[in-house]
Amino acid sequence: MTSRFYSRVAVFAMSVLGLAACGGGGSDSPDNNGTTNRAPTANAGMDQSVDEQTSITLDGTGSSDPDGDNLTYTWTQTGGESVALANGSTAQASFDAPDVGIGSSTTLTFQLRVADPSGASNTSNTDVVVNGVSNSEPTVSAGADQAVTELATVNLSGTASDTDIGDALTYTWTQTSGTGVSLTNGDAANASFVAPDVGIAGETLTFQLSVNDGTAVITDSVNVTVAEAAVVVTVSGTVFYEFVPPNDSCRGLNFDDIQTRPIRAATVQLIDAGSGNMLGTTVAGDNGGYSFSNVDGNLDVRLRVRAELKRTGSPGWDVEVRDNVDTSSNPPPLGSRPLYVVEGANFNTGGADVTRDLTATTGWGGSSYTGSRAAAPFAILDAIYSGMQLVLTADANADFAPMDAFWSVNNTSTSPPDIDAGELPTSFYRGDLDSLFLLGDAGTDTEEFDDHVVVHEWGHYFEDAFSRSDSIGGSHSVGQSIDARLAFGEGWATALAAMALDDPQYCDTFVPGTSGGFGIDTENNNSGSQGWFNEMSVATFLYDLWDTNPDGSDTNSIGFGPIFNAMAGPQLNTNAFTTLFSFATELRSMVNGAELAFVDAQLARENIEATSIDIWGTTQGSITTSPNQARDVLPLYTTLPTDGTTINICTNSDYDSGRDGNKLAEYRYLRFTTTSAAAYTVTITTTTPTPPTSDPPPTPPDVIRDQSDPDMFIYRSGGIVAVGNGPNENSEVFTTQTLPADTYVADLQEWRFEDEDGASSDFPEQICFDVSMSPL
Amino acid sequence: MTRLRVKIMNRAKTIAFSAAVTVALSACGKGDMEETGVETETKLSKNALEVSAKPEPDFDGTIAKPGSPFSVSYKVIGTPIVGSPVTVELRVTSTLGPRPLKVSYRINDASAMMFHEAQPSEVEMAPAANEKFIAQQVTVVPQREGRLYLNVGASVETDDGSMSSMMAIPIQVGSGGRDLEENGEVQLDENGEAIRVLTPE
Repeated sequence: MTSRFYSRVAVFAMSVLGLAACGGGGSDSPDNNGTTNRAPTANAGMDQSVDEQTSITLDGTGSSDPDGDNLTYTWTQTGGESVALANGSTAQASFDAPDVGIGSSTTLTFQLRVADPSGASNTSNTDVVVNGVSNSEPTVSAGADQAVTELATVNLSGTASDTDIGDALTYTWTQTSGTGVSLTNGDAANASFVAPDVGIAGETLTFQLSVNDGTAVITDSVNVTVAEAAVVVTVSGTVFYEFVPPNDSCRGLNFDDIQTRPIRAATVQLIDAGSGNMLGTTVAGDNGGYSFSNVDGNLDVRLRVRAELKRTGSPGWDVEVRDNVDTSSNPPPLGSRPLYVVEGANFNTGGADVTRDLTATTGWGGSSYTGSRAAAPFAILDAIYSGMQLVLTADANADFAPMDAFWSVNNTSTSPPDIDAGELPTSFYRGDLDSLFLLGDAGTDTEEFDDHVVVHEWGHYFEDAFSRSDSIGGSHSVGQSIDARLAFGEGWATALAAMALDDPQYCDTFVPGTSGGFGIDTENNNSGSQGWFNEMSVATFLYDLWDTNPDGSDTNSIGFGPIFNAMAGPQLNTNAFTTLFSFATELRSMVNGAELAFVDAQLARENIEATSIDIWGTTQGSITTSPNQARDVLPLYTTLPTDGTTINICTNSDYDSGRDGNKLAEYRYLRFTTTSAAAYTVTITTTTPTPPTSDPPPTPPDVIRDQSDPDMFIYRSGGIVAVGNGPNENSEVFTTQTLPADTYVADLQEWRFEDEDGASSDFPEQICFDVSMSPL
Repeated sequence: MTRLRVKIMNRAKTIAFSAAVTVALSACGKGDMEETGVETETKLSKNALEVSAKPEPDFDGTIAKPGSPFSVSYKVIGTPIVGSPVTVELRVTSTLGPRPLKVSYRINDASAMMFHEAQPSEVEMAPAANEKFIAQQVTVVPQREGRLYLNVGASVETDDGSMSSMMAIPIQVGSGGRDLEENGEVQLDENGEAIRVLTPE
């Protein structure tokens, strides 16, 4: 507090006395002894003129105190470029003169304050003029290298620094390599430009920044790599297959009238031609259209169409066309054999959207197949798709169980069968494999363009997947009088093909390039005797229910809905065998009025008594088919007593010239109803003598070939519940499992009528049996 | 595709089918509409009950396409050897009654087999009055070993024009296998699945 008081006194005194000296601020004041203290005199030394970047001493030793007091020194810089003072609390301080650049100078001002122990003080100033004697070059950076895409705005950020205080820096950007660009603010530290449009290989541009400090020019460079922009394009188009229609009247294929049709709903893939990787997958529309968006531009790719139909959800489906032939020693399962695909040539996606179509061609060379038969799998696939579309008209959410179609150019028609070797009995459906097997050998028979044949076999798949069939299968041809179950299954399949393809003309052509083949007119059945035992009667009946083309009594249409509903509903669970009677009976219950009359008229045309019809064909009257006045045909079902009562019933092979074993009257249908659960013994005894014949014994003599061999199967709603098919001569005795109370059917046959080796020529055409059934 | 499926596809489904059936069959067959059996599921099996006692027909229960109104059965006589005539007995059955049938023979691979010099390539005849079929013999001379094929066609003129069918009769010469025709190329796709790649022309 005391010193502050005295300072104020001193300031006041100076202002009063007007003291001014080489220093400033000195004052006198009484000391503790009562004597007057005199202020010191500061002396900061002479002004100096010095070179830059030299060590300079400030000399305050000229300061003094009249009382001889010891002084304290305080140096401070009061002007000019700031420097770091050393020994600033002593009489001599020092500092390094700054770098001011050649030709320049700067003045630094320092003040020295001295004080005695009583606090009296005085100040003195001194100037130091620093003169530049050399130039320091600036430090320059053009920035880090950059990678940009074409047409982008690129900023060039330059920096520079100069230790010379007085240097003013100027900037200049120049391009030293690459496609020329226009620089904006090229005379500033930060410049910019627009990257040029470059090719797929890209380009590197180089820029130089020059910085001038008035004495020297310093440069630095930066590289800017410009790349092609990430071009994406859309690849779209249509996929087609070639279809070869039949000649008139189905006499071979007409290669002069090849049609181009869309590949509908198949899987389309885009493949990277370089890596083989799949870039995208989609499903062709019903017009064959496909599209892949966001595909890299300038990329070599190819299209692949897979012979498959895949859809999850409702509706859903899973269809594949594969090659069944594999003669290796350990072939993979059928479902793992090669799937057919067609691939187009490689192409480049370029820099803009591209349209690319692909057509699977026939491979026909004019008189024979000379190229890849690429169209075939897709023709098959499309025929199947047609069948599925028909079903969807009745059930929009249909869930199609997975299935395969097997086809090969090596699938030839022969026997015995060997699927692996491509030796097929014919084209057929196998329910246990959910698969179609189709011929493709150009030397015998090809099916790929016989779309009715494909859909016919798919119609059997439909029975398996949506309904039920009790068909016994086997050989059948148009006009034959065949087992009622076989007749309905085959008629159904033929009609379904006609409906799905909207074409009543079923064609089955044979050797391509020839006139081989035959046709079936589903609209106008004219083959064989009309009735429930003729597959053509069944086909025509069903087709005429659906089609809208009036002919004869066919003046209406009930559409596919009721037909589907009858098949997928009551036909699935009928107690009877699946025949025209079971179907028509249930269908009649689903329609009314004019539609019912229409259905009845179609039945009547096929010699079916409609108004009193039941699933058993109970009221079906006599039929007119020959020979032998249709013996052993009616009643269609014979009641089998369950109390041991014996009935006598006959079968015959009157209609089976080929010994196929599946013709009319070769199976007799029995029915019985049990009112409580019980097991039964069934006894069958042949009552027709089978005399010895002149036929030689078989080699080896494993079976007595001259004798009758009755067989019987018992069914409950289509499932076999008891079997009696032992090899015994002239009799069959078997015991059932416990049969719950229900209605059952059975079929009784003379096995010799289908015996592969054939019954002897003396074997009777008609065989009769005593049949009885007794509870255990 | 998880729908519980009703698989009641006739008795054919209950009849066992196996490679053994094929192997056991001798060099004879009934063409056009032979029947393939199918594998047993959970139902009773016709074969299972008498597999050794009573042979099944070749293809009992095949759900097949409609046939033309002919069927051809055959039997190869003897053991075919290279350079020696081999006779095939044919039976062609027609459902069209006594109409004359034209039966033709074709050998697609001339390096495999040739007709015997006295063998016509086509005959036309009607069934005898007391028969339901036409019996024919055709003689060929194998030129090499392997599984060779004689193609047999049958046709008939009807009011609607000609109707025909064709089948291949395999003739096994020695132990060689069948010469298979290639169509496309088998590759593995990006998922390792076998695909047969076809290329458009």
